[in-house]
Amino acid sequence: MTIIHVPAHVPACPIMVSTPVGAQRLGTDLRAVAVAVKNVQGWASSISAPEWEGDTADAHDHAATRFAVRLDGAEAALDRAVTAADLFEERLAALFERRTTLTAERAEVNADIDTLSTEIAAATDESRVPEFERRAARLTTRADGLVARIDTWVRDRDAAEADLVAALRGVDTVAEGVQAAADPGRPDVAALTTRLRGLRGDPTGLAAWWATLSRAEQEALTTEHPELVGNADGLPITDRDEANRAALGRDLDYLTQRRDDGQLSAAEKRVLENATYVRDALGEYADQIDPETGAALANVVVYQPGLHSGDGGIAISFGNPDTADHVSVNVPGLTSETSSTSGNLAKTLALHQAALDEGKGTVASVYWLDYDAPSGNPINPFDPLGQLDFGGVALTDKAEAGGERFGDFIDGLRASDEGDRAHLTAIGHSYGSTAVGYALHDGLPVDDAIIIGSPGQPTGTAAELTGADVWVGSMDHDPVSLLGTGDRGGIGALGHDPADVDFGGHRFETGDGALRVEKLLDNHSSYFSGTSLDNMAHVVAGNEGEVSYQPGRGAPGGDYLTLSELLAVSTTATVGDGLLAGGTWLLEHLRPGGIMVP
Amino acid sequence: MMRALGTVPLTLLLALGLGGCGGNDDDSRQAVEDAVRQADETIDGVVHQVAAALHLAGAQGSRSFTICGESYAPRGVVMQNFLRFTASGELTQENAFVATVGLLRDDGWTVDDPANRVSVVGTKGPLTLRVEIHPTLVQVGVTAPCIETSDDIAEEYADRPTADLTWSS
Repeated sequence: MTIIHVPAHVPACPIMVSTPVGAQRLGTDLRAVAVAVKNVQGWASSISAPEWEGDTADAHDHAATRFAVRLDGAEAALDRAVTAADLFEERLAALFERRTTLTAERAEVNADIDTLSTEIAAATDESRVPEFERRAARLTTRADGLVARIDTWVRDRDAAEADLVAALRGVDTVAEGVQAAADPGRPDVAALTTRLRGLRGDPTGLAAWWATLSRAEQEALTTEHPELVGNADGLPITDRDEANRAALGRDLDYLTQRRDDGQLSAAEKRVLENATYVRDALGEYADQIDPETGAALANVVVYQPGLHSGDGGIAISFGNPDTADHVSVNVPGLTSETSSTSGNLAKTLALHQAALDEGKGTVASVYWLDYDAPSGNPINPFDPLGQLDFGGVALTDKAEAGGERFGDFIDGLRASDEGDRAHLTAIGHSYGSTAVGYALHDGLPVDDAIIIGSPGQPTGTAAELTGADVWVGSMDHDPVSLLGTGDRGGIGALGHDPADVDFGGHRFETGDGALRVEKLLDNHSSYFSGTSLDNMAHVVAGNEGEVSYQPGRGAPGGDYLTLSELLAVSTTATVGDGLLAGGTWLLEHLRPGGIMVP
Repeated sequence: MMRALGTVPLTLLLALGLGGCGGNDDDSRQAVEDAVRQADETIDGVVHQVAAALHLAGAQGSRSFTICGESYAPRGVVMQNFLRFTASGELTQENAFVATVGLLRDDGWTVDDPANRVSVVGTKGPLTLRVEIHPTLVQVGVTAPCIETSDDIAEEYADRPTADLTWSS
C-alpha cells in the first residue's frame, strides 16, 4: 500500500497583543501630554514681570528661563516619543493587514489538507495515488511557504515592538530630553507653522506640502498646533484625527481642572460641555474597528468646540474617506449642535453599514456639523433651553454660510483623497439640505447629492443646482418637506420643493410616514431607517439600479397634502383616535361598579 | 342627563390626552427593558453559538443608548450593543458565513440576504443582529434601531454612560 505524506495543518499566525487601536490610544495620550507641555512651555517663555527691577527682576527672569528650557527638553522628548508611537501604529496596521491575508490563506490551505486527507481515507484502490501524490506535494509547498511567511511576520512584529521600546528608552531621562532639544535636526516648528498658515484655503497645495514633511515634522506641528492641523482641509484624515483627539484630550484635562478649581469662564464651560459630548459619543464606538487597518473605525475630522456661538463644530467619519471607494458626508439641520452628535452618529453608522453591505467596495461615512445651524425648539417656544432662532430658520443667511464652509470641507476631502478618485455623495437633511443646496450651486465637487426632508432648495431645478445626480427623499407627511414652493404652493422662505416633479430630481421611495399630528416631526427624523435608508445606501454605494422610486409631487400618482391640509387631517386623525380611546375608556368605567357610577 | 353632559368634555380631554401622547413613562421604560432583555438573551444565546462555531476569542463589547429623533422630538431610544472578537481562521470565509447564517436561522432570525459576503444581518422582533466576518476579526452588533418611548424616557436612557458588556466564557 502506498503511503501519501499529507502536510500537517499550518499553525495559526499569533494573535496581536500590541494592536493598531492600542497604539492609537498610546499615541493619543502622548500627544495630549505633549500639547499640554507645549502650552505651558510657551507660557513660560513669554512670562515677564515688567514692574520688578534689579536683582528681583533678574532672579525672576533667570527662573522663568530655566523653567522654559527644562520644559523644552520635555517637549523635545515627547515629540520623539510621539513620532515613535506614530511609526509603531503604522507598522502595526501593516502587520494587521498581513495577518488578515495569512489567516485567510491558512484557512484555505488547512481546508484543502482536510479535503485531501478525507479523500485518501475514502479511497478503495490505488488508482488515484498519482493524483494524491501531486496534490500532497503542492499542498506541502503551499504549507511550507505559508509557515515561512508567518515566521517572518512574527519577526517583523517583534522588531516593531523592540524599536518602539528602544525609541522610548532613548528619551526617558532629563539628560536625553535636553540632548533631543539641542539636536540640530529638530523640526523648525515656527517656520513650519508659518507655511501651514499660509497654505490654509488651498487644500491641494496644503496636501502636497504636507506630504513632503518628515514624520517628525508632522508630529511636531500636530502637538504644537493641534487646532490648526486637525481642522486643516486637505490634510490626511488620519493626521487630522490624531490632532483632534490630542486637542480633545487636552481640553478635557485642562478644563476639568479649571472647573474643579472654580475658575471656568462661561465660554470655557461651553467648550468643556462640547468636549464631553464628543468624548462620550466616541466612547459609544470605541469597540468598532476598521477591518482594513485594525485601527478605530471612527475618525475625528473636525473638532472646534468653541465655534458657532458656542454650539461647536464637529465632524466624525466611520472609515477613512481618503482610502474608501465610496464616501458620503451627511449634514444635519435645525437645532443641531455638538450635543446632537451621539444621535446623529447612530444614523450615520446605520447608513455606513447599509452601504457597506451593498458589497460594492469600501465605504466611509462622515457626519459633518461645522456650520451654525439655527437653534431653539420649533415645537415649544417656552422651552427653557432656548427660543427658536426664527431669523436663522426663515432666512437663508446661515444656510449660505454653512454651504460655503461645507464646500471648503469637500474640497479638502478631494485634496486628501488617495488612489482612485472616490465616489462622493453629499447628503443634506432638513435645514442642512438647504446649506448643501447652496454648496451644490457653488460647484460642490460631488458625484451624487441626496436631499432629505428639505424645506427648500435655492434653485427651481436640479439642473440649475448642480451637475451631480440629485436624489430626493421627502415623506408626504413630513411637514418640513412641505415648506418649499411647488406644485400646490408652499411658504418658500428657503426655496423650492425638490420633491416637486418640475424640480427634476430623482425622488426615491421613503414611505409617507404616520398621519397623526404628534408624529409629524417624528416623520421628519425618520429618513435613516427602512426603505429610505435602503435607497440612500444604494446611491452612496453606487448601486443606483436598486433604488425604488415614487412619483414627484404633482406628477401622476404624486398627489399630496399641503402643509395646512396635513395639519388639519393629522389633527383630526389624532383627535379621532383619541375620541375612540376616550370613549372606550368611559364605556368601561360607566358600567355598574365603574368609577363614574355613584 | 347631567352625567351624560359631563362626559362630553371629559371625553374630549381624554381624546386629546390618549390620542396625543408618545406613551407613558412606565410603558416606555418597560419597552426598553424588554429590548435590553432580548439583547442579553441574544448575546448569551446565538452570539455565543456563533463565537463557538467560528472559534472566536478575545470578546470585548459595550452597550449604549441614544435618541432616535432630534432634540426637539426625541421619538424614542436607539440601543446599540457592539462586540468584537479575534479570529484565527479555523474556518474559511465561506464556511464561516454559511455557519453563521444557519445558526441565526435556527434561532428564529430572518436573514433576508443569506448570500451577502460582507455581513450576515438578521432581524427578530425589535432587534437587528449584524455579524461582520473577516479572517482575523469578527464584529457583532445587536441593535434596536428605535424603541418608541416618551420624551422623558428617551432622554433618561440617552444620558446613561456607555457600559461594558460582560462576556461569559
